[in-house]
Amino acid sequence: MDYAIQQGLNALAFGSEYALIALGLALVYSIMNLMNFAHGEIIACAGYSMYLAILIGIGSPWLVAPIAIAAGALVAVLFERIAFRPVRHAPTTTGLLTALGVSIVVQNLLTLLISPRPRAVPVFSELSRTIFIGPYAISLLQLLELAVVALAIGGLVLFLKHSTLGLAIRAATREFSTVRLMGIRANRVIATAFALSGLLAGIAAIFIIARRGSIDPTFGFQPVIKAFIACVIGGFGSLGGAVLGGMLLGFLDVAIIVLLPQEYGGLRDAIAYSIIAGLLVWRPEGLLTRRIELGDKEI
Amino acid sequence: MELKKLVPVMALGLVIGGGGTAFAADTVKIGIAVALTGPLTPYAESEGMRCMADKVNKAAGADDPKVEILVEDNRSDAQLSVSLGQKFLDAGAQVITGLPFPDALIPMTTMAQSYNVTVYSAPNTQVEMQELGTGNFIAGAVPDPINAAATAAVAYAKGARKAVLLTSEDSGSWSAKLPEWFGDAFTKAGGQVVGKFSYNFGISDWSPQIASIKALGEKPDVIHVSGILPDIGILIRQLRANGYDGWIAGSDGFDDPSLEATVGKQADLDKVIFATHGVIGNGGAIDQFLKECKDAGFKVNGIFDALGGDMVAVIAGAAKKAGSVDPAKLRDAIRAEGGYKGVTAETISFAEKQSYPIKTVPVIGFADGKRALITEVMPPNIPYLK
Repeated sequence: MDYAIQQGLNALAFGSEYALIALGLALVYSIMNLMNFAHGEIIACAGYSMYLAILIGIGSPWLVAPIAIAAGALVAVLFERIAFRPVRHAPTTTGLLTALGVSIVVQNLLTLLISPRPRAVPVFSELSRTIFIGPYAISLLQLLELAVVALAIGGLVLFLKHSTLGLAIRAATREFSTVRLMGIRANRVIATAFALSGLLAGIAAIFIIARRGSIDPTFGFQPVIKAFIACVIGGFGSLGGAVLGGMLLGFLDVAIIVLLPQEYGGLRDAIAYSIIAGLLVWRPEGLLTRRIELGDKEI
Repeated sequence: MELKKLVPVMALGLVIGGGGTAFAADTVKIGIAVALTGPLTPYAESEGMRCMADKVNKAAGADDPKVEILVEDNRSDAQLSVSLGQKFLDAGAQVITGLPFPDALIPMTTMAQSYNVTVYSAPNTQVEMQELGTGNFIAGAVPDPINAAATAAVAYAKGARKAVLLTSEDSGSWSAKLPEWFGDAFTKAGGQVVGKFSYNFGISDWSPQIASIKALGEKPDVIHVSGILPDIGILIRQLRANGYDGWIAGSDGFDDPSLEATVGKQADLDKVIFATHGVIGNGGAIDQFLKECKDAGFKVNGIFDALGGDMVAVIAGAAKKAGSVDPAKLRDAIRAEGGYKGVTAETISFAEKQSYPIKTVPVIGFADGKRALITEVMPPNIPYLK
C-alpha cells in the first residue's frame, strides 16, 4: 500500500509537469487554432536565460527563477509578434509549419550561438533534497511542483474569470470576430495569451532544469511532445482538458513503468500509445471537449 | 576546331585528367556522419579524427597517402546517418562511419559491402555488429561484455554483493544487455542480482524506478546502468537524494566532462565507477593528444575524440603499409599483424579478432570529485563472447 501511495505521488508530479506545459499549448490553441510546437523552444530560451544569468554572476535561485519566467513570457510574445502574427489569417497548416520552422530556427541558433553540448545549470540543485513523511519519500522538487502548478492553474482561472483581459480571452476562444466587434483589440488579446503561455513555459523550465541540472538546445522538445499528447487526450483547446490530459498521462506513464514486467520494457511506448489510441477511439475529440459546431470552441 | 585536331587535345586532357585521378587516389577519404547536434553530441569523435588527420598529413612524406575527413551532422538520427553514408560512398570514401548504434551501422555496413568499403566505428561496442558477418565492419572499441565484466569485478572487489540493473531498449544491446552482462559477471564472481528495472532515454525523473528499488526486499549495494548524459547524472543525483549510498556502476556513457556538472555535488560521485576506453587526467598519451589538438584549434572534448584519433592513425598506417588506398587492400592492411600505434593504446591490433581490438579496460572512479583510475586490466568472467 505504501508503495502504491509512493508511486501515486510520483505520478502526480509527472502529471503536474505535463499539465503545466499542456496548459500553455492549449491556451494558444484555444484562441488562434495554432499548435505551437515552438513552445518547447520557449522553454529552452527560459532555460538558457538561467544559464546566462549564472554566467554573468547571478547565482541566487530567487533571482534566477523570475528571470526565467520573464524570459519565457518575453520570448513567447516575440514569437507571436515576429512569426505568428503575419500568418494569423492563413490556414491552420501554415501556422503549424511556421511553429515547426520557428522551433528549428531557434534550436539552430542556440546550437550555433551557445553550444550543441549540454551546459550545467546547477542553481536549483538544493530542490533535489528528499523529505520523508512517514514511510513516503517526497522530493522537495515534487512537492514544490505540485504546489506551484496548483497555484498557476488557480491564478490562471482567476485571471480568466475576473479580469477584463481574461474575459476577453475566454470570449475570443468562443468567437473571436464578435470579440473584435465589441471593441477589444485582437493583438492585445493574442499577445496576452502568448505571454501567459510563455510564463507557464518559464515555470516549467525551472522545474525541468532543477531535475536535469543541465540544458541543451533540444531540451524543450521532448516535454512538448508529451504535452501535445496530453492536449489530445484532454481535448485540444480545452484548458481543463489539458490539465486532465496531463495528469492522466502522468499516471499512465508511472503505471506502465511500475506494472509492466521488466522483460517487456521495450513495449512501454507501444502500450502507452495503444491506450491513448483506445481513449481517442472512445472520445475522438478528447475527454473534455463537447461535440460542438465547427468554429465554436469550449474552454 | 576540326575533329582530327580535337583528338590530340582530348587525349592530352585525358592524360592530365588521368594524372589528376591518380593523385586523388593517394588520398584516403573517411566519411563520418556524426552527432554534431542532438542528444548524442557529447559522444562525437569527429574533432579527434580531424586533428589526427591534420597531424598525419603534416607528417606525411611525398609518397605517403594523405587523409581527408568528410564530416556531416547526423543530428543524432540513425536514418540520416544512413543517408549520409550513401553520400560518402558516392563521393568515393574508402571508409565510412555513422552513429555508433546498430540501427545506423547495420544498414550502413550492408550498403558499404557492395562498394567493398569498410565501416569503421571508433566508439562502437555492440555485439550485434560483431555478429553481423559481412566482413567489412570494424569497431575501434572493445565489445560491451568486456566493459561489463570490468565494472563487475571492481564492484565485487569493493564489497558489493547485491546488484540492481537498469536497462533501456533505446540503443540496442549497449543499453539493454550490457547491464545484464554486468549481472552475469557479478553473479559468476559470487554476487547476486536482486532486481531489474527499465527506463527510456531522455528520462528526467527516475522517481518511479527509485521507489521500486526502495521497495525491494533486499537492498542493493550496486546499481548498474548503461545510459547517456544527462540521464545518468540525474539518476546519481536522485539516488543520493533518496538516501542510497551504495555503488553506481556504468559504461562509457558516463565518460563525458559534463557528468560532474550534471551531478552537482562532489560527494555524490564518491561511489561512482565506470568502464571506458582510456584514462584521461593522468598526463598520459590521451591527455597529450587532446592538449595538442586543442592547441591546434580543434574542439576536442574527451575520450571519444581519442578513439577518433585512433581510427585515423590506424587507417593512415594501413594505407601506408598497403601502399594503396584501394578499399579492400586497405581493410586487409588494417587487420595486418603487428597493428598500429594509437592514442588510447600503445598498439591497436585487429589481427587477432578482425573486427575489434584487444585492449585492456580502464575502470574509473572518483576521489574528492576528481576522476581516478581504479584498475586497467583484461577482466575475468567475461560473459557472452565466445
